Amino acid sequence: LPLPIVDCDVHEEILETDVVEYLPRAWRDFLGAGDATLRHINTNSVYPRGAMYSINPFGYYRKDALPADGGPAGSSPELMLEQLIEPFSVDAVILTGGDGLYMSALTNPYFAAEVTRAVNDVRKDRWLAVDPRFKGSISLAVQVPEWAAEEIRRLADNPAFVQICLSTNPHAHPFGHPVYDAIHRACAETGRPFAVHSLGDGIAGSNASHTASGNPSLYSEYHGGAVQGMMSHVMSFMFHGVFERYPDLKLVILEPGGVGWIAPFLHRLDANFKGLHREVPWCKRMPSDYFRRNIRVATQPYDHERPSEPLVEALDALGAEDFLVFSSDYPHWDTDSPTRTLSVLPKHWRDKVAHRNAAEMFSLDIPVPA
Amino acid sequence: MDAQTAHPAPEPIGACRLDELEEGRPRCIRLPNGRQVALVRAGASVRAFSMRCPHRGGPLYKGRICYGLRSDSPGDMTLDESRMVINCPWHNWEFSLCSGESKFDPAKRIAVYPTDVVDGVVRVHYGAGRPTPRTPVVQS
Repeated sequence: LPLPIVDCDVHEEILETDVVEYLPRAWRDFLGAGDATLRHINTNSVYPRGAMYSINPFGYYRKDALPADGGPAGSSPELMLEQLIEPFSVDAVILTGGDGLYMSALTNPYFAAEVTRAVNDVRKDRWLAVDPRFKGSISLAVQVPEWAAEEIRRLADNPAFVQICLSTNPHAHPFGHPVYDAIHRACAETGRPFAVHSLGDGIAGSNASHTASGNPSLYSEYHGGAVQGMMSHVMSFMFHGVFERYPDLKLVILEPGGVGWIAPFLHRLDANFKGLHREVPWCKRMPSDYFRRNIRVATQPYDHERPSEPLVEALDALGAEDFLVFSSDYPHWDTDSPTRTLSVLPKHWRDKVAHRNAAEMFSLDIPVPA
Repeated sequence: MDAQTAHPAPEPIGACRLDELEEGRPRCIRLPNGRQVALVRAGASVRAFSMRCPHRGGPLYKGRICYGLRSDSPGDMTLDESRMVINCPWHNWEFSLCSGESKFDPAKRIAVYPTDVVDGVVRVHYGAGRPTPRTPVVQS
Protein backbone atom coordinates (compact mmCIF):
# COMPACT_ATOMS: atom_id res chain seq x y z
CA LEU A 1 0.00 0.00 0.00
CA PRO A 2 1.61 3.28 -1.03
CA LEU A 3 0.49 5.08 2.12
CA PRO A 4 2.44 6.81 4.86
CA ILE A 5 1.98 4.85 8.09
CA VAL A 6 1.94 5.89 11.73
CA ASP A 7 1.85 2.89 14.05
CA CYS A 8 0.20 3.98 17.30
CA ASP A 9 0.93 1.03 19.57
CA VAL A 10 4.39 -0.51 19.55
CA HIS A 11 5.88 -2.05 22.66
CA GLU A 12 9.48 -1.35 23.34
CA GLU A 13 10.83 -3.15 26.38
CA ILE A 14 12.92 -1.00 28.68
CA LEU A 15 15.22 -3.36 30.49
CA GLU A 16 15.33 -3.37 34.24
CA THR A 17 19.09 -3.24 34.16
CA ASP A 18 18.89 0.02 32.19
CA VAL A 19 16.32 1.47 34.57
CA VAL A 20 18.47 0.65 37.57
CA GLU A 21 21.41 2.36 35.93
CA TYR A 22 19.34 5.55 35.68
CA LEU A 23 18.07 5.49 39.26
CA PRO A 24 19.62 7.79 41.84
CA ARG A 25 22.24 5.94 43.90
CA ALA A 26 20.15 5.82 47.04
CA TRP A 27 17.35 4.08 45.20
CA ARG A 28 19.79 1.63 43.61
CA ASP A 29 20.95 0.87 47.10
CA PHE A 30 17.33 0.51 48.20
CA LEU A 31 17.00 -2.19 45.56
CA GLY A 32 20.05 -4.01 46.81
CA ALA A 33 21.84 -3.02 43.65
CA GLY A 34 24.29 -0.63 45.24
CA ASP A 35 27.22 -2.86 44.40
CA ALA A 36 26.26 -2.57 40.70
CA THR A 37 26.27 -6.33 40.25
CA LEU A 38 22.47 -6.18 40.03
CA ARG A 39 22.53 -9.58 41.65
CA HIS A 40 19.36 -9.00 43.59
CA ILE A 41 17.27 -7.57 40.83
CA ASN A 42 15.28 -10.72 40.34
CA THR A 43 13.89 -10.47 43.84
CA ASN A 44 13.84 -6.69 44.24
CA SER A 45 12.44 -5.60 40.93
CA VAL A 46 11.83 -2.12 39.61
CA TYR A 47 8.63 -3.36 37.98
CA PRO A 48 5.61 -4.83 39.77
CA ARG A 49 5.95 -8.58 39.98
CA GLY A 50 3.18 -11.12 39.88
CA ALA A 51 1.39 -8.74 37.55
CA MET A 52 0.24 -11.40 35.11
CA TYR A 53 -2.03 -13.70 37.03
CA SER A 54 -2.68 -15.92 34.05
CA ILE A 55 -0.41 -17.70 31.64
CA ASN A 56 -0.55 -17.68 27.87
CA PRO A 57 0.82 -21.15 27.05
CA PHE A 58 2.47 -19.73 23.93
CA GLY A 59 3.96 -16.71 25.66
CA TYR A 60 3.15 -13.08 25.04
CA TYR A 61 5.51 -12.31 22.17
CA ARG A 62 6.14 -13.21 18.55
CA LYS A 63 8.85 -15.84 18.63
CA ASP A 64 10.54 -14.27 15.63
CA ALA A 65 10.86 -10.99 17.52
CA LEU A 66 13.29 -12.28 20.13
CA PRO A 67 16.65 -10.52 19.70
CA ALA A 68 19.75 -12.61 19.15
CA ASP A 69 21.33 -11.23 22.33
CA GLY A 70 18.79 -13.14 24.42
CA GLY A 71 16.86 -10.06 25.55
CA PRO A 72 13.07 -9.93 25.58
CA ALA A 73 11.08 -9.10 22.46
CA GLY A 74 10.92 -5.35 21.91
CA SER A 75 14.21 -4.65 23.66
CA SER A 76 16.23 -4.06 20.48
CA PRO A 77 15.71 -0.83 18.51
CA GLU A 78 17.68 -2.34 15.63
CA LEU A 79 15.44 -5.41 15.39
CA MET A 80 12.34 -3.21 15.52
CA LEU A 81 13.69 -1.17 12.62
CA GLU A 82 14.47 -4.36 10.71
CA GLN A 83 11.15 -6.15 11.34
CA LEU A 84 8.60 -3.36 11.43
CA ILE A 85 9.79 0.05 10.32
CA GLU A 86 11.90 -0.71 7.26
CA PRO A 87 9.89 -3.50 5.60
CA PHE A 88 6.58 -1.66 5.94
CA SER A 89 8.04 1.83 5.39
CA VAL A 90 6.54 3.02 8.65
CA ASP A 91 6.96 6.76 9.08
CA ALA A 92 6.52 6.89 12.86
CA VAL A 93 5.93 4.41 15.66
CA ILE A 94 4.48 5.47 18.98
CA LEU A 95 6.35 3.55 21.67
CA THR A 96 4.00 2.71 24.50
CA GLY A 97 6.25 0.64 26.79
CA GLY A 98 6.23 -2.88 28.13
CA ASP A 99 6.49 -3.54 31.85
CA GLY A 100 6.65 0.23 32.28
CA LEU A 101 2.90 0.33 31.64
CA TYR A 102 2.25 -1.12 35.09
CA MET A 103 4.25 1.17 37.38
CA SER A 104 1.08 2.50 38.94
CA ALA A 105 0.84 -0.90 40.63
CA LEU A 106 4.02 -0.39 42.65
CA THR A 107 3.02 -0.08 46.27
CA ASN A 108 5.73 2.44 47.20
CA PRO A 109 4.72 5.78 45.59
CA TYR A 110 8.13 7.43 46.17
CA PHE A 111 9.95 4.56 44.51
CA ALA A 112 7.37 4.45 41.70
CA ALA A 113 7.98 8.12 40.91
CA GLU A 114 11.75 7.53 40.73
CA VAL A 115 11.35 4.46 38.51
CA THR A 116 9.05 6.43 36.23
CA ARG A 117 11.60 9.18 35.71
CA ALA A 118 14.27 6.57 35.01
CA VAL A 119 12.08 4.69 32.50
CA ASN A 120 11.30 7.88 30.61
CA ASP A 121 14.94 8.94 30.56
CA VAL A 122 16.04 5.54 29.26
CA ARG A 123 13.38 5.81 26.55
CA LYS A 124 14.66 9.26 25.60
CA ASP A 125 18.32 8.26 25.43
CA ARG A 126 18.15 4.71 24.08
CA TRP A 127 15.16 4.87 21.77
CA LEU A 128 14.09 8.37 20.81
CA ALA A 129 17.68 9.42 20.17
CA VAL A 130 18.34 6.40 17.94
CA ASP A 131 15.94 7.18 15.08
CA PRO A 132 13.53 10.10 14.51
CA ARG A 133 10.81 7.64 13.56
CA PHE A 134 10.65 6.52 17.19
CA LYS A 135 8.15 8.66 19.10
CA GLY A 136 7.70 8.14 22.80
CA SER A 137 4.97 7.94 25.41
CA ILE A 138 5.53 9.52 28.79
CA SER A 139 5.09 6.61 31.17
CA LEU A 140 3.51 7.52 34.46
CA ALA A 141 3.00 6.19 37.95
CA VAL A 142 -0.21 7.80 39.14
CA GLN A 143 -0.30 6.80 42.78
CA VAL A 144 0.03 10.56 43.40
CA PRO A 145 -1.54 12.27 40.36
CA GLU A 146 0.13 15.62 41.07
CA TRP A 147 3.55 13.96 40.87
CA ALA A 148 2.55 12.37 37.57
CA ALA A 149 1.58 15.80 36.28
CA GLU A 150 5.03 17.07 37.24
CA GLU A 151 6.59 14.27 35.21
CA ILE A 152 4.53 15.29 32.16
CA ARG A 153 5.71 18.89 32.49
CA ARG A 154 9.33 17.79 33.01
CA LEU A 155 9.32 16.17 29.56
CA ALA A 156 6.94 18.52 27.78
CA ASP A 157 9.68 20.43 25.99
CA ASN A 158 10.80 17.30 24.15
CA PRO A 159 8.59 16.96 21.05
CA ALA A 160 9.56 13.30 20.63
CA PHE A 161 7.35 12.51 23.65
CA VAL A 162 4.00 12.75 21.92
CA GLN A 163 1.54 11.42 24.53
CA ILE A 164 1.22 10.00 28.02
CA CYS A 165 0.33 6.34 28.45
CA LEU A 166 -1.28 4.55 31.36
CA SER A 167 -2.61 1.08 31.90
CA THR A 168 -2.98 0.38 35.60
CA ASN A 169 -5.48 2.01 37.87
CA PRO A 170 -4.40 2.50 41.51
CA HIS A 171 -7.37 4.53 42.76
CA ALA A 172 -10.29 2.17 42.13
CA HIS A 173 -11.75 4.67 39.68
CA PRO A 174 -11.49 4.69 35.88
CA PHE A 175 -9.21 7.37 34.46
CA GLY A 176 -11.84 10.05 33.84
CA HIS A 177 -12.54 10.43 37.58
CA PRO A 178 -11.59 13.85 38.97
CA VAL A 179 -8.99 12.23 41.21
CA TYR A 180 -6.88 12.25 38.01
CA ASP A 181 -7.66 15.88 37.14
CA ALA A 182 -4.06 17.02 37.63
CA ILE A 183 -3.06 14.60 34.86
CA HIS A 184 -5.91 15.64 32.56
CA ARG A 185 -4.89 19.26 33.03
CA ALA A 186 -1.20 18.61 32.41
CA CYS A 187 -2.07 16.71 29.22
CA ALA A 188 -4.30 19.54 28.02
CA GLU A 189 -1.79 22.24 28.86
CA THR A 190 1.11 20.45 27.21
CA GLY A 191 -0.90 19.25 24.19
CA ARG A 192 -0.33 15.56 24.93
CA PRO A 193 -3.08 12.99 24.32
CA PHE A 194 -3.98 10.74 27.26
CA ALA A 195 -3.50 7.15 26.09
CA VAL A 196 -4.86 4.16 27.98
CA HIS A 197 -3.58 0.71 27.13
CA SER A 198 -5.86 -2.18 28.01
CA LEU A 199 -4.96 -5.20 30.14
CA GLY A 200 -3.43 -3.26 33.04
CA ASP A 201 -6.66 -3.00 35.03
CA GLY A 202 -6.73 -5.32 37.96
CA ILE A 203 -3.15 -6.52 37.89
CA ALA A 204 -1.55 -7.21 41.23
CA GLY A 205 -1.05 -3.93 43.09
CA SER A 206 -3.89 -2.20 41.27
CA ASN A 207 -7.14 -1.32 42.97
CA ALA A 208 -9.48 -2.25 40.14
CA SER A 209 -10.66 -5.60 38.88
CA HIS A 210 -9.88 -6.64 35.35
CA THR A 211 -13.43 -7.62 34.50
CA ALA A 212 -16.60 -6.25 36.00
CA SER A 213 -17.37 -9.33 38.04
CA GLY A 214 -13.87 -9.97 39.33
CA ASN A 215 -10.46 -10.99 38.20
CA PRO A 216 -10.16 -13.78 35.65
CA SER A 217 -8.16 -16.92 36.29
CA LEU A 218 -7.38 -17.84 32.68
CA TYR A 219 -5.54 -15.93 29.97
CA SER A 220 -8.46 -16.39 27.59
CA GLU A 221 -10.69 -14.54 30.05
CA TYR A 222 -8.05 -11.91 30.70
CA HIS A 223 -7.32 -11.16 27.05
CA GLY A 224 -10.90 -11.51 25.84
CA GLY A 225 -12.13 -9.23 28.61
CA ALA A 226 -9.85 -6.33 27.72
CA VAL A 227 -12.79 -4.41 26.33
CA GLN A 228 -14.47 -4.09 29.72
CA GLY A 229 -11.82 -1.81 31.16
CA MET A 230 -11.77 0.25 27.97
CA MET A 231 -15.53 0.78 28.12
CA SER A 232 -15.22 1.93 31.72
CA HIS A 233 -12.48 4.45 30.94
CA VAL A 234 -14.40 5.83 27.95
CA MET A 235 -17.60 6.33 29.98
CA SER A 236 -15.62 7.85 32.82
CA PHE A 237 -14.04 10.49 30.58
CA MET A 238 -17.37 11.36 28.97
CA PHE A 239 -19.63 11.56 31.99
CA HIS A 240 -17.20 13.20 34.41
CA GLY A 241 -17.05 16.01 31.87
CA VAL A 242 -13.33 15.76 31.13
CA PHE A 243 -14.01 16.75 27.51
CA GLU A 244 -16.03 19.77 28.65
CA ARG A 245 -13.27 20.89 30.98
CA TYR A 246 -10.57 20.26 28.35
CA PRO A 247 -12.28 20.36 24.94
CA ASP A 248 -9.08 19.77 22.96
CA LEU A 249 -7.90 16.78 25.02
CA LYS A 250 -7.72 13.47 23.18
CA LEU A 251 -8.17 10.09 24.83
CA VAL A 252 -6.47 7.29 22.89
CA ILE A 253 -7.53 3.74 23.64
CA LEU A 254 -4.93 1.13 22.75
CA GLU A 255 -5.53 -2.56 22.14
CA PRO A 256 -9.15 -1.99 23.11
CA GLY A 257 -10.39 -5.54 22.63
CA GLY A 258 -11.16 -5.07 18.94
CA VAL A 259 -13.27 -2.29 17.46
CA GLY A 260 -16.50 -4.14 16.66
CA TRP A 261 -18.02 -3.26 20.05
CA ILE A 262 -17.94 0.49 19.51
CA ALA A 263 -21.16 1.05 17.53
CA PRO A 264 -23.52 -0.94 19.80
CA PHE A 265 -21.85 0.51 22.89
CA LEU A 266 -22.33 4.10 21.73
CA HIS A 267 -25.88 3.35 20.64
CA ARG A 268 -26.61 2.25 24.22
CA LEU A 269 -24.91 5.28 25.79
CA ASP A 270 -26.76 7.71 23.52
CA ALA A 271 -30.10 6.07 24.24
CA ASN A 272 -29.49 6.15 27.99
CA PHE A 273 -28.18 9.68 28.03
CA LYS A 274 -31.45 11.11 26.73
CA GLY A 275 -33.10 10.04 29.98
CA LEU A 276 -30.21 10.48 32.39
CA HIS A 277 -28.63 13.80 31.44
CA ARG A 278 -29.97 15.49 34.59
CA GLU A 279 -27.35 13.53 36.50
CA VAL A 280 -24.58 15.05 34.38
CA PRO A 281 -25.90 18.41 33.12
CA TRP A 282 -22.33 19.50 32.35
CA CYS A 283 -22.33 17.06 29.42
CA LYS A 284 -23.49 19.23 26.52
CA ARG A 285 -23.06 16.64 23.78
CA MET A 286 -24.25 13.15 23.08
CA PRO A 287 -21.79 10.40 24.07
CA SER A 288 -21.24 9.47 20.43
CA ASP A 289 -20.38 13.12 19.68
CA TYR A 290 -17.73 13.16 22.41
CA PHE A 291 -16.41 9.88 21.07
CA ARG A 292 -15.98 11.22 17.55
CA ARG A 293 -14.50 14.50 18.70
CA ASN A 294 -12.22 13.48 21.56
CA ILE A 295 -11.45 9.77 21.35
CA ARG A 296 -9.11 7.92 19.03
CA VAL A 297 -9.07 4.14 18.81
CA ALA A 298 -6.10 1.99 17.84
CA THR A 299 -7.09 -0.68 15.34
CA GLN A 300 -5.29 -3.74 16.69
CA PRO A 301 -6.68 -6.35 17.11
CA TYR A 302 -8.61 -5.72 13.88
CA ASP A 303 -10.80 -8.83 13.69
CA HIS A 304 -12.57 -8.13 10.40
CA GLU A 305 -11.94 -9.47 6.92
CA ARG A 306 -13.94 -7.21 4.64
CA PRO A 307 -15.79 -3.88 4.59
CA SER A 308 -19.13 -5.56 3.99
CA GLU A 309 -19.22 -7.15 7.46
CA PRO A 310 -22.15 -5.74 9.48
CA LEU A 311 -19.93 -4.56 12.33
CA VAL A 312 -17.70 -2.67 9.89
CA GLU A 313 -20.72 -1.12 8.22
CA ALA A 314 -21.96 0.01 11.64
CA LEU A 315 -18.57 1.61 12.31
CA ASP A 316 -18.69 3.26 8.92
CA ALA A 317 -22.07 4.77 9.74
CA LEU A 318 -20.52 6.24 12.89
CA GLY A 319 -17.73 7.90 10.90
CA ALA A 320 -14.97 5.55 12.07
CA GLU A 321 -12.51 6.83 9.48
CA ASP A 322 -12.19 9.91 11.70
CA PHE A 323 -11.48 8.15 15.00
CA LEU A 324 -9.52 5.00 14.13
CA VAL A 325 -5.72 5.06 14.07
CA PHE A 326 -3.59 2.20 12.83
CA SER A 327 -1.67 0.06 15.33
CA SER A 328 0.29 -3.16 15.03
CA ASP A 329 0.97 -4.06 18.69
CA TYR A 330 4.43 -5.25 17.62
CA PRO A 331 6.04 -7.46 19.00
CA HIS A 332 3.16 -9.19 20.76
CA TRP A 333 1.83 -12.59 19.74
CA ASP A 334 -1.35 -11.19 18.19
CA THR A 335 0.33 -8.45 16.16
CA ASP A 336 -1.39 -6.99 13.07
CA SER A 337 0.74 -6.24 10.04
CA PRO A 338 0.24 -2.81 8.46
CA THR A 339 -0.43 -4.19 4.99
CA ARG A 340 -3.01 -6.69 6.16
CA THR A 341 -5.00 -4.29 8.33
CA LEU A 342 -4.94 -1.38 5.91
CA SER A 343 -5.86 -3.54 2.93
CA VAL A 344 -9.03 -4.92 4.56
CA LEU A 345 -10.33 -1.52 5.69
CA PRO A 346 -12.98 0.21 3.59
CA LYS A 347 -11.04 2.12 0.95
CA HIS A 348 -12.27 5.53 2.03
CA TRP A 349 -10.90 4.93 5.56
CA ARG A 350 -7.36 3.99 4.62
CA ASP A 351 -5.66 7.32 4.23
CA LYS A 352 -6.96 8.75 7.51
CA VAL A 353 -6.47 5.57 9.50
CA ALA A 354 -2.99 4.86 8.14
CA HIS A 355 -1.52 8.24 9.02
CA ARG A 356 -3.67 11.38 8.80
CA ASN A 357 -5.60 10.99 12.07
CA ALA A 358 -2.47 10.16 14.06
CA ALA A 359 -0.35 12.84 12.40
CA GLU A 360 -2.96 15.45 13.26
CA MET A 361 -3.35 14.24 16.84
CA PHE A 362 0.40 14.09 17.52
CA SER A 363 1.33 17.10 15.36
CA LEU A 364 3.64 14.90 13.29
CA ASP A 365 5.05 16.15 10.03
CA ILE A 366 4.53 13.11 7.81
CA PRO A 367 5.38 13.67 4.14
CA VAL A 368 2.49 12.65 1.93
CA PRO A 369 3.24 11.52 -1.63
CA ALA A 370 1.66 13.63 -4.33
CA MET B 1 -59.59 11.86 12.70
CA ASP B 2 -55.87 11.29 12.52
CA ALA B 3 -53.92 13.45 15.00
CA GLN B 4 -51.09 13.84 12.51
CA THR B 5 -53.28 15.40 9.85
CA ALA B 6 -55.87 17.15 11.98
CA HIS B 7 -56.26 20.90 11.71
CA PRO B 8 -58.82 21.75 14.37
CA ALA B 9 -60.10 25.27 14.64
CA PRO B 10 -57.90 27.34 16.95
CA GLU B 11 -60.76 28.61 19.10
CA PRO B 12 -60.12 28.21 22.82
CA ILE B 13 -61.79 25.23 24.43
CA GLY B 14 -62.86 25.22 28.04
CA ALA B 15 -61.05 22.44 29.90
CA CYS B 16 -61.72 22.69 33.64
CA ARG B 17 -61.80 25.17 36.46
CA LEU B 18 -58.47 26.53 37.65
CA ASP B 19 -59.14 25.47 41.21
CA GLU B 20 -59.47 21.87 40.06
CA LEU B 21 -55.76 21.83 39.25
CA GLU B 22 -53.11 21.25 41.86
CA GLU B 23 -49.96 23.34 41.73
CA GLY B 24 -47.13 21.51 39.89
CA ARG B 25 -49.10 18.28 39.55
CA PRO B 26 -50.25 17.41 36.01
CA ARG B 27 -53.68 16.03 35.24
CA CYS B 28 -55.09 14.43 32.15
CA ILE B 29 -58.20 16.27 30.95
CA ARG B 30 -60.57 15.24 28.17
CA LEU B 31 -61.61 18.29 26.19
CA PRO B 32 -65.12 18.74 24.78
CA ASN B 33 -63.69 17.93 21.32
CA GLY B 34 -62.75 14.48 22.57
CA ARG B 35 -59.01 15.12 22.73
CA GLN B 36 -57.03 14.54 25.88
CA VAL B 37 -54.34 16.91 27.10
CA ALA B 38 -52.20 17.21 30.19
CA LEU B 39 -52.69 20.37 32.24
CA VAL B 40 -50.53 21.63 35.04
CA ARG B 41 -50.98 24.72 37.14
CA ALA B 42 -48.09 27.11 37.70
CA GLY B 43 -49.41 29.85 39.96
CA ALA B 44 -52.13 31.75 38.17
CA SER B 45 -51.30 30.26 34.80
CA VAL B 46 -51.67 26.82 33.30
CA ARG B 47 -49.50 24.83 30.89
CA ALA B 48 -51.15 22.43 28.48
CA PHE B 49 -49.26 19.75 26.63
CA SER B 50 -49.49 16.32 25.02
CA MET B 51 -50.47 13.58 27.40
CA ARG B 52 -48.27 10.98 25.66
CA CYS B 53 -44.51 10.97 25.29
CA PRO B 54 -43.29 10.77 21.66
CA HIS B 55 -40.44 8.48 22.73
CA ARG B 56 -42.29 5.36 23.84
CA GLY B 57 -45.79 6.59 24.55
CA GLY B 58 -45.37 7.06 28.30
CA PRO B 59 -48.10 8.96 30.23
CA LEU B 60 -46.61 12.44 30.49
CA TYR B 61 -49.46 13.53 32.75
CA LYS B 62 -47.99 11.25 35.42
CA GLY B 63 -44.54 12.74 35.00
CA ARG B 64 -42.60 15.17 37.16
CA ILE B 65 -42.71 18.91 36.56
CA CYS B 66 -39.42 20.56 37.36
CA TYR B 67 -37.08 23.32 36.30
CA GLY B 68 -34.34 22.85 33.76
CA LEU B 69 -30.74 22.55 34.87
CA ARG B 70 -27.80 24.73 34.01
CA SER B 71 -24.18 23.71 34.42
CA ASP B 72 -21.02 25.58 33.61
CA SER B 73 -18.52 22.90 34.61
CA PRO B 74 -18.37 19.33 35.90
CA GLY B 75 -19.89 19.15 39.35
CA ASP B 76 -21.78 22.42 38.96
CA MET B 77 -25.57 22.45 38.62
CA THR B 78 -28.12 25.22 39.08
CA LEU B 79 -31.87 25.17 38.63
CA ASP B 80 -32.95 27.29 35.67
CA GLU B 81 -36.18 28.77 36.94
CA SER B 82 -36.89 30.38 33.59
CA ARG B 83 -37.36 26.98 31.99
CA MET B 84 -40.06 24.55 33.09
CA VAL B 85 -39.90 20.96 31.88
CA ILE B 86 -41.83 17.73 32.13
CA ASN B 87 -39.96 14.50 32.81
CA CYS B 88 -41.68 11.45 31.42
CA PRO B 89 -42.20 8.71 34.02
CA TRP B 90 -40.95 6.17 31.50
CA HIS B 91 -37.22 6.58 30.64
CA ASN B 92 -37.02 10.15 32.03
CA TRP B 93 -37.08 11.96 28.71
CA GLU B 94 -37.46 15.69 29.31
CA PHE B 95 -39.43 18.22 27.28
CA SER B 96 -39.65 21.97 27.56
CA LEU B 97 -43.11 23.21 28.47
CA CYS B 98 -42.41 26.34 26.42
CA SER B 99 -41.17 24.92 23.14
CA GLY B 100 -42.11 21.25 23.51
CA GLU B 101 -38.58 20.26 22.50
CA SER B 102 -36.49 17.45 23.82
CA LYS B 103 -33.06 18.75 24.76
CA PHE B 104 -31.10 16.00 23.04
CA ASP B 105 -33.37 14.92 20.25
CA PRO B 106 -34.97 17.84 18.43
CA ALA B 107 -36.81 15.37 16.20
CA LYS B 108 -38.91 14.40 19.21
CA ARG B 109 -41.17 17.06 20.64
CA ILE B 110 -44.46 17.30 22.41
CA ALA B 111 -47.29 19.59 21.52
CA VAL B 112 -47.67 22.52 23.89
CA TYR B 113 -50.83 24.61 23.70
CA PRO B 114 -51.44 28.20 24.73
CA THR B 115 -53.91 28.58 27.56
CA ASP B 116 -55.73 31.34 29.32
CA VAL B 117 -57.96 31.57 32.33
CA VAL B 118 -61.26 33.39 31.95
CA ASP B 119 -63.65 33.67 34.87
CA GLY B 120 -61.83 30.85 36.64
CA VAL B 121 -62.10 28.55 33.63
CA VAL B 122 -58.97 27.20 32.00
CA ARG B 123 -59.18 27.45 28.20
CA VAL B 124 -56.88 25.57 25.87
CA HIS B 125 -56.12 26.97 22.40
CA TYR B 126 -55.99 23.46 21.13
CA GLY B 127 -55.46 24.01 17.43
CA ALA B 128 -52.51 26.31 18.07
CA GLY B 129 -50.26 23.52 19.32
CA ARG B 130 -48.14 21.27 17.23
CA PRO B 131 -49.63 17.76 17.36
CA THR B 132 -47.54 14.94 18.66
CA PRO B 133 -47.22 11.97 16.27
CA ARG B 134 -49.75 9.39 17.33
CA THR B 135 -47.41 6.48 16.80
CA PRO B 136 -44.09 7.10 18.51
CA VAL B 137 -41.09 6.65 16.28
CA VAL B 138 -38.20 5.13 18.19
CA GLN B 139 -34.86 6.28 16.94
CA SER B 140 -31.71 6.83 18.97
